[in-house]
Amino acid sequence: MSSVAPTTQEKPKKGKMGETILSVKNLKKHFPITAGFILQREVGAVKAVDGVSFDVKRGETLGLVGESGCGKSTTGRTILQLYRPTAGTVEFEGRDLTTLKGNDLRQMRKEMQIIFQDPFASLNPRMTVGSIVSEPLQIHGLYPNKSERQEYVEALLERVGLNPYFINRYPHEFSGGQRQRIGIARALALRPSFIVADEPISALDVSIQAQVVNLMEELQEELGLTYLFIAHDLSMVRHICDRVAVMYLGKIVELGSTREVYDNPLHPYTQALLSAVPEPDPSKEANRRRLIIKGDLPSPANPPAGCNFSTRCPVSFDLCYQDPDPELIEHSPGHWAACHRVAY
Amino acid sequence: MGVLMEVKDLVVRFYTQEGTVYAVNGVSYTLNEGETLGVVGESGSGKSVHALAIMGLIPQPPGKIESGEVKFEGRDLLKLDKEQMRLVRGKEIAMIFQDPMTSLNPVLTIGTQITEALKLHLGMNNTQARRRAAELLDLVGIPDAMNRLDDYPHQFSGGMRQRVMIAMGLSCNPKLLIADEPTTALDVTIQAQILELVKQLKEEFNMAMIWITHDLGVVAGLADNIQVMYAGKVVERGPTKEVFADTRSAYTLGLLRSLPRLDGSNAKLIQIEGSPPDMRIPPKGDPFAPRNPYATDRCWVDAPVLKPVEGGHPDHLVAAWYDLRAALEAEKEAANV
Repeated sequence: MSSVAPTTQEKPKKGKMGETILSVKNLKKHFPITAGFILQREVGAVKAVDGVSFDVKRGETLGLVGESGCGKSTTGRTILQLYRPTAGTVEFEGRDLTTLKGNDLRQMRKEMQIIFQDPFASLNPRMTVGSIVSEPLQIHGLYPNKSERQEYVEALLERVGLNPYFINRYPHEFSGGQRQRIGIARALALRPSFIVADEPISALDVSIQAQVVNLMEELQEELGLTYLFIAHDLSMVRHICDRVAVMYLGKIVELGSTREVYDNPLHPYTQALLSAVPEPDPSKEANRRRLIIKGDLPSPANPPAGCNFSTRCPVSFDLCYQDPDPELIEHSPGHWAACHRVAY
Repeated sequence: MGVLMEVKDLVVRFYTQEGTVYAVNGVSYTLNEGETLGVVGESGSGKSVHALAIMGLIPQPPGKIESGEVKFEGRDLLKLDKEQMRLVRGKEIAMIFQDPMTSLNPVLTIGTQITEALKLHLGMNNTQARRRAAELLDLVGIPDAMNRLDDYPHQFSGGMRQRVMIAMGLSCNPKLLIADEPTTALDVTIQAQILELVKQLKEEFNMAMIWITHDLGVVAGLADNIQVMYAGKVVERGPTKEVFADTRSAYTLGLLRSLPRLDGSNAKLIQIEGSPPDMRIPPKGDPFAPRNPYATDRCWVDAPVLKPVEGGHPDHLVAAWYDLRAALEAEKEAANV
C-alpha cells in the first residue's frame, strides 16, 4: 500500500500511542430557545450536551452511540469548536481549545478534522474534487507550489481509492460511496492526528458501507489516526471501536471498552439498545428476548427530574425520580455507568 | 394456505430526460395467504418500484409498466381501471411508507385521515368511523386514543406517526400489507417497538405482508420467505432460514459478509467491490457479474433465470450460472491445504 503522498512536508510523528490526546471535561452545549420578535428573550434552553466528560487516547477509536437527538453529533462538533461550548473544557494535545480563537484555533484545526454524514450536502457542488481536497492546503499555506500540490492531491485521491484522473470532476459525477471517499481525502489533506467521523456510513448503501469502514481502518493503521466515531449502528460500532460511550439525552450513561459494554452492559438503556438491534441470523432472532423500552425520548429542552432515563426505564425506583441525577461511576476498571440501580 | 397474489414477469421502466431507467426487469413470484415476504435490496434494486407497480401507484408518464401480470385473488390488478383500483387500494391491499412525516397530510387531523378509508371502503358513518379509528389507535399502542384523534401529525413523534400509519393501513382489514422500509427512519429502540407490534398484529389480522428493507437483520426475525433483489431482478428467493444458512447467490453472500455482527464475531468485513450498476444502461448478462468474484464467463453474456438450487430446499431459488456452494467448498479446501 502506498503511503499518503510525497515526503516534502513529512511531519515528525508527535506523541506516543496510548497517551491521552483529547480530554473533554464537563462539556455543555445549550442552545437558547427565544421568544419575542424584536426584543428576543431567552425562555429556555435545549440542553443538547449536558455535562459530558471523557478522554480519547492516541491511536484508538472511541465510539459515541445513541439515538437521534441524544447529542452525539453536537458533542463532536463542540469538541472541534464548530460550536462554542456553553461550559466545560476540551483539552487537545494539552491545550484548552475553548480558550483559543482566530489564528491559534486555526492552527489547531490542522490536527483535527471531521468527516460528515451526508456526502451529498458536505461537498460544494460547484467545486471540482481537486479544489475541494486542496482547499485546506491553500488555507494553511501548505504546498504553495501548484504542481506539487496537485501531485499531493492526486496521491491522496489514489490512497482513498479514487482514480486521480477524476481530479477535475464535480461531486455530482460520483456515487455516494465515492463522495464519502472525497470527504475522507479532504479530512486527511492536512495530515491530522484526530478525526471526528460523524455517522460517516449511515447514508451509504449496505454494500458500500463495508468499503468505507475498511478504508478508514486501513488509514488508521497506516497514519496512526485517532477517531471519534459517531454512529447509531451498534453492530458497526462494535466492529470498529476500541471503546464506546453511550449517550442519552445529552449525557454519557455508560462508557467502557467495546467488549465490556457489549458483553456486560450495566445501564438499562444500553441493555435495551443492544437488545433492539436486529441481527441477520434467523436462528438468533427466533430465540431472542427483546427488552423493549416504552415511549419516546423526552425533549432535551425539558428533561425529566432525576435520572434522564427514568421515564422509560424498566427498573427505575423512587431514587431515580429525584435530583440529582446519577453520576458516572467506575464499576470495574475502565467501565463506567451512570445508574442508581447499578450503584446500589 | 392458498395463493393470494401472483406476480408474473413484471417489467417497469421510467422514460426520463436522462434516458430510460430500467427499474424492474422481470420479477415473478407468488405470495401465499398469511405469508410474510421480506424483499431485500439496496437503493435502485427495484424493490420499492415493484411494490408501487402492484399498488398502481407508478406515475405514468414518466413511468410505464411494460409487461407483466399481478394476479390478486385471480384478478389482474394491472388491468383494472382507476376507479376499480381505488377500491382495492386501502381495502384489499394497504401500504405503509418509509417516511411517516411526508406520507401523512400535515393539515388534516389524524382522525380525518384514518376515518377517510373507513367511510369510503366500509361505508361507516362519522360516529362509527371515529369509534373504529380510536380502537385502531389503541391497538397500535397510542395512549389516550379518543382524544388524540383531533391532533395533527406534527403533534406526534416519528415512532408514533409510524404507528398512525400502521393503524391506517390496518383500518379496513386488508389481506395484504406492503411495508416499504417502515422502520428505516426510526431509532433502533423505536424500531424494536414497531417490529414487535407488527408481529403481534399480523397474527391478529391474519394478513399477508411484504416487508421491503435493505436491512437483512430486520427480515431475519420477521419474514417467512426472503427475496433478494439486485438491478431490478430477483437474484435469490427462499425460506428465510435457507437463504441465510445455505446462501446460493454471490450477492446475498456479499451482503452477509459485509455486515458487522453485534457479538463481534465478524472480525474483518469482506466488502463487495465496485458499486451498484447504473440502471439507465440495460442490463446484459448477470448484472452482478462485474462485482462477483465467483462469476463465470457465461455470467457476462447470458442473463440467468431463477431456478431451484441443487441439493437444497425445494422452495429455494437462485438466479446464477456459477455454483456458489461448490466455489465456497473449493475455497475452504484451498485454505486447508
